[in-house]
Amino acid sequence: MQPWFYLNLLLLSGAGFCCDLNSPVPIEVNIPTVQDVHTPRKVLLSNNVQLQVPQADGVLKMHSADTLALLDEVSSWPTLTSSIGRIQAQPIAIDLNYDGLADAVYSIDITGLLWFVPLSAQGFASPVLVADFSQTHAIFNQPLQLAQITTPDSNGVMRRQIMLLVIARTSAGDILIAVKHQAGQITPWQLTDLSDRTNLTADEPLYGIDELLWSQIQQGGGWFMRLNQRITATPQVYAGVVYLTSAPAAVVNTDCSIAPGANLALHAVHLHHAGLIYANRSWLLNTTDAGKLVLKKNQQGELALSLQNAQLSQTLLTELLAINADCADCVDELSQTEFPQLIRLATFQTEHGAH
Amino acid sequence: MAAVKGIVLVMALIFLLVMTLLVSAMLLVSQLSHKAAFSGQQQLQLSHQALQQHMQQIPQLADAAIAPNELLTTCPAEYAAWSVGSLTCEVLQLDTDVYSDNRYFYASYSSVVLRKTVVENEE
Repeated sequence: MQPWFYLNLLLLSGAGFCCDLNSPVPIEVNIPTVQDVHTPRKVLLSNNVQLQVPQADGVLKMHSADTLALLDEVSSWPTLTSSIGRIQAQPIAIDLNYDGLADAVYSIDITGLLWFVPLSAQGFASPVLVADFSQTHAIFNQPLQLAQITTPDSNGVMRRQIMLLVIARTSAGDILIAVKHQAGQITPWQLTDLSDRTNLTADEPLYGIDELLWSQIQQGGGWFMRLNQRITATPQVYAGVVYLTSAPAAVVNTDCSIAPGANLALHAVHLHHAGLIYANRSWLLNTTDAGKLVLKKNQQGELALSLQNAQLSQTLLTELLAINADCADCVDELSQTEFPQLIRLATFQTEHGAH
Repeated sequence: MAAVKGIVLVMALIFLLVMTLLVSAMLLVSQLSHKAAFSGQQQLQLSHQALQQHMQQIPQLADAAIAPNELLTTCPAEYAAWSVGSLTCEVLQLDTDVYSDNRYFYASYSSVVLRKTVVENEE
């Protein structure tokens, strides 16, 4: 590993490093049983933290949720040394064919190697490298988030992809990375393949995202934003808008709350290009509490974004917006009355006794 | 002379009989074809009515009390995507059928519908 990495690790050991957004327990997923691929069985996926081997090389283990028996593990990775950095970030499972069973798990090691590990009834299959962010010299120890998206390709045809939200921690602040993954992808993405959306041009708030830039983002691997702050709540995606909270690293406490007198900032950006959704991409909140970002119905029956922890629930944003595929910057109101939303997939005439 | 008259009478009667048969057959055929044409029209009208009723019933599936045929663990990909776990997706099938008043005609429609619900809590 590079000296820069250790320097970041050393600096991050100070203020703000302990704002850990990971769940302390292994993630529970359903995979097929060996006898019948349609019958689910619960397994637990553990990383270095849950396995209590924080200093060992990266390892993922699969245990039976019922008996806690070890079913499989990945400790040999397709790298030159067959090893990777430790895995502290909580992995995330995905059901690609909507059969209720996890088909793969995404996991990232502390140096920024993002892996796609297919799952089968037998356990883990060979990991595939999705992205290599090691050149950022950041620490990747925060949980992964994902959203299944459809996005227009160069011909305007909507293609299905996975959008992963990755948090990279540096001494200067966190970087939010949104990276795409598509089945059959051969070359791992690097940060240089992603568009830097830290700052918007002066024209973008007035005229929307530049067509050429939008096209580049669609062709590329995603985008990233240097926040220069510490992320204090796991990013959530609601109706195509990424929401997260942050504060200067120096004022973030170990439990992700912030020091009295400081202000938490709420960020809301477009999932596909990190552009504007509301008047600003971020604004200050009048709270210092730690909590999860959740959607709640307020007293008027409208959907609102709230910060929730065991003690309180504070409304952060009402009149939520949803992105719209009609144009790069199109948005609609997200109304509670739209839900439950019904989408007719097929209608057909049924015949009985016809011959 | 009387024999000739008799033959003419018989021929005339046979001719009348044949004509009567022909006219009756034509009447029957036209009635049948009318019936056939009308039944097709009736079936078409019934199918249209059945489809209308079917479409009117689809919004009722928004009622959360209706049990889904299948609960998806992950919602299908979309442009305005949601984080895993923030949206619940269920697949429902609606079957409706309609009979004519005389029960000779029948039309049935089925729809597969995706119901998306936001996972949220009351404040």
